[in-house]
Amino acid sequence: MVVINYVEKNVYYDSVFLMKLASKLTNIEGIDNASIGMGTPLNKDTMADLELLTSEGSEATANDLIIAIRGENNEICDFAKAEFEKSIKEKRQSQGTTAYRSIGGAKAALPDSNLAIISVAGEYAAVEGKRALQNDMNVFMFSDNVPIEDEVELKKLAQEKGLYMMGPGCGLSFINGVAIGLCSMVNRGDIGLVGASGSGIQEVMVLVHRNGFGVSHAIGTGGRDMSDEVGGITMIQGIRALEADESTKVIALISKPPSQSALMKVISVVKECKKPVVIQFINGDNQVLKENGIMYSESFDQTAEMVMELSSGKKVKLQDDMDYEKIADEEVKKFSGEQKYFRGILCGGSLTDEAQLMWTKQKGDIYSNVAFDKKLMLDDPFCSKEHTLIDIGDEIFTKGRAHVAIDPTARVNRFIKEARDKETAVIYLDFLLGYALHPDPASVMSKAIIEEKARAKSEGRHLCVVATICGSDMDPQGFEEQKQILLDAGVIVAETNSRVVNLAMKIINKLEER
Amino acid sequence: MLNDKIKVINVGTDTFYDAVKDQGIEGVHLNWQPKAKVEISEEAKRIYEKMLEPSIKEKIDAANQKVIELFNNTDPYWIGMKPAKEVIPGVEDGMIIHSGPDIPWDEMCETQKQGGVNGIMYEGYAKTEEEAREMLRTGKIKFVSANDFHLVGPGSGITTPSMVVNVVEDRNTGARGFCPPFEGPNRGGLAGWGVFNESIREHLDMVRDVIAPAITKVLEANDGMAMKKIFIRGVEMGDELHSRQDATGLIATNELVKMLIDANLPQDAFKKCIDLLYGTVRFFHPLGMASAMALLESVRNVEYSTVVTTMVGNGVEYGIKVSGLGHKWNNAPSPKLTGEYVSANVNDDEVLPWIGDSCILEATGLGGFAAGAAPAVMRSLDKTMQDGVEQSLEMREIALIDNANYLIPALNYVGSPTAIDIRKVIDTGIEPVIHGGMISKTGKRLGAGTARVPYKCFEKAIIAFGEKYGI
Repeated sequence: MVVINYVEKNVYYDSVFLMKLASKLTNIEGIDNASIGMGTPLNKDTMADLELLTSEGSEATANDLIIAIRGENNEICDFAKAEFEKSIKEKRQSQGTTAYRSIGGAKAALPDSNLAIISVAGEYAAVEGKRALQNDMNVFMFSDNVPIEDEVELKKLAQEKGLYMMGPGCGLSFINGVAIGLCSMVNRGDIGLVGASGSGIQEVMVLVHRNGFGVSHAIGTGGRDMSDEVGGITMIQGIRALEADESTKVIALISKPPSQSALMKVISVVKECKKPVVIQFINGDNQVLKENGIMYSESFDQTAEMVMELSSGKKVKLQDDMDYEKIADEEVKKFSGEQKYFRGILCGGSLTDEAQLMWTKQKGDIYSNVAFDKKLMLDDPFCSKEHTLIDIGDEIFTKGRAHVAIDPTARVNRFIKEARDKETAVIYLDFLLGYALHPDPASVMSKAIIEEKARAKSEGRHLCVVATICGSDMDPQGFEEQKQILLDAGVIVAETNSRVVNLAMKIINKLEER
Repeated sequence: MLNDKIKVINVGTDTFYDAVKDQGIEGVHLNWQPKAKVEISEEAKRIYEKMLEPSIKEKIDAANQKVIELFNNTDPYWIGMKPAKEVIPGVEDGMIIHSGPDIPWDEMCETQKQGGVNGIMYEGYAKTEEEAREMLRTGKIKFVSANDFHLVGPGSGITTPSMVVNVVEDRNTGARGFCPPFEGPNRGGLAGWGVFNESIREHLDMVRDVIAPAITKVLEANDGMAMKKIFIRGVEMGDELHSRQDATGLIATNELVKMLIDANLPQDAFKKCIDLLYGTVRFFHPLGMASAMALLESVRNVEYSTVVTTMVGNGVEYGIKVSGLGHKWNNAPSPKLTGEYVSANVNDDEVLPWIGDSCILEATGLGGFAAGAAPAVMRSLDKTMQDGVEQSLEMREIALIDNANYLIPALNYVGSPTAIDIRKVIDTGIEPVIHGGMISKTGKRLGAGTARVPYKCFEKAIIAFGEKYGI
């Protein structure tokens, strides 16, 4: 193996684009790993961690591009570098001659532009966000690592101008029927959502969709909106907007636990709201909501059922024709004597949170890289311990790559590792569908699932893989198509996140009783 | 927002752009680059942010709207060739004119100093060069900036009161711009390179005594030559009108020759005119510059306007003027050109930092701003046609409008980016690209290249704007 760093002076490409190319290079026969990035200290550290940094790369500056490749020999690395250049050229050609360079320039040419989608690196994002707001545009900011002072400034400016500042760190929004960011496509309806949780909002969106209801709008706020500093500015704007919106009849608010000051502000807005509001604080204390007479929910399933009931005026049960008891009974017969643990490897952060909460409440300890209880934090996030739940979207796993819901490499690797652990009994995988997400996540995983199931069988074990698909039949990937691919690979696909977790607990309980 | 039709500007990964496009949503994907790290003072930043507030922004936008109309409706006519003192208000015997911003004698570059001395020798104000130098040093002979006299001085920009200048009138406003003609076989000559000898004296005298009266006569007989349509066609045919005016020149020559023939000039004058036209490469470059100057004089003093009206250098400093700031100079050290040399043995150190007033063309949407129109210019700079298109698109970010007149085929006939807004330069950090010739510290032609107008000039202008308007 050789490691080569090719350094190109004074060029720039956006980081997600480079990540995609790096993953493409890794697929070349004879290439072991590749990382491409501007020579920022952060990128260089990442490359060093991956043992991809040479002295050439170390000397690069933030204005230089590093193409770091590890391959079998020099020729193969050079070949990969040439492939990289080919892809760059394609990109250049596709940009054509109508490219604008700045938000101001584009807005001047297209004055009715009203939404800026910003996903540049955190250090540049705030400036672009401000320009968008100053040009009277709403902002959807996917970018992370934006200083909180900047977030406050941007949100205050947006508020003054009557605009929306969704994010930083906003995963998705669904506005006027348009899926923005990493977002599912669902039917329009009268249920309005606002919240700081990407996969949580999406889970509720797809559940109401699949049960015959629809979503008016879903407004993402970014993960820090309900902090003391920000004080729920976008959350409150969102509630008021949905209250004023004629197509919205009922509102659900989904968030990580808020700070005390933000909570009090939001409560007073919710109490004044003329439309029914359901609040779900993931792992939050609902006592204060109860005291204030506010409707609250403790799971995404429950949130979906509550808003559907409020929308239709009658009780709605999520459709589900699976006999979980029977499935568990059948599965449990197949395991070897050594197999005893549950391993969840999830892309959705809020789905991970919900799974963890359920397990802790109903079953007991579960280790995690995102444990609520510090005692249950994994010492080494790359090594599972007993029952373990991994948020594979954590930066530590995706270093130098796009989010795992876009580039599933990290999860495939982790799945293989768990599958080969002789103590693993049940593996849980979630599949996020929607625009801007991986075009075929089920196929990527199913290849590994089929192989690992066969390997386990040959070694006298039974690998039980359970899954949920957080998506809809209107998504580009197709819900039914994705489900069939998983079923064909022998995966048990349940309707919702909490139902998979319930099933997994049932199987493990029965296994322990065996 | 909730029920408006969404139209997106995407900044960052194109995945999100493709996703909304797949849903049938209109939008654009920015060709985004991190801003060049520009140093900007807190004061300039404060004023800039303040200028975005509606109360001030509305005033600025309204002022700029007036300016935009003047840009689009400009209608230059070449109406004569006359001695400077006869036609330029304020120009009189006892003064010499130079290019670029005002500058004290001691700080001036040697090229321009020698040009001033040579100008005095041509006018006969002094007997010896030493005497001439002393007159300029002591101020006995005033050495003034061309830009303050509606005059464009290419290169060192030496103009003396009895030297002939082209006169162009913007018939939309009546404002006039002036620029000395190129000096035939002497190329840069006295006006451009500040050099002087007997053949240059003879040539200048001949232009004053024979050519200028003849051409003025034919122009007057034809009510002037309308330049706008010639420029429009020229841009369409590959000229950016700064480094190249081949097409423009041919079209204009065609018209001028017809006028000369119809005028029944004496045979000797007619022949001299034709010889001069034939022997002067880029005869029409000064007419482009005088036309730009006439337009810029029209927009000189619009209160609250943030549009650049002047971009000129003197080999030491580079200065810009802004409409809402009248004649105030905003200077920074003059930038160096980079480009292609005429021969391989030119040393970078020999190149004089930017000198000359020709970038008033860029201030009207030509030159570097119209690079997309001029593949041949790009090629001479060892660049590609696509580079030219990209350059025009980049300049579009700091311009207020797509010019209604100069349409660029390679941009699908979108107009050349025009009317530089100091706010946009401050915001984007994009410095205007200027095209030009490189001359040496001793007045030799070295090649052609490009430079960027320093950001500092715009920062100074923003601060001056803040001071003037109490922002």
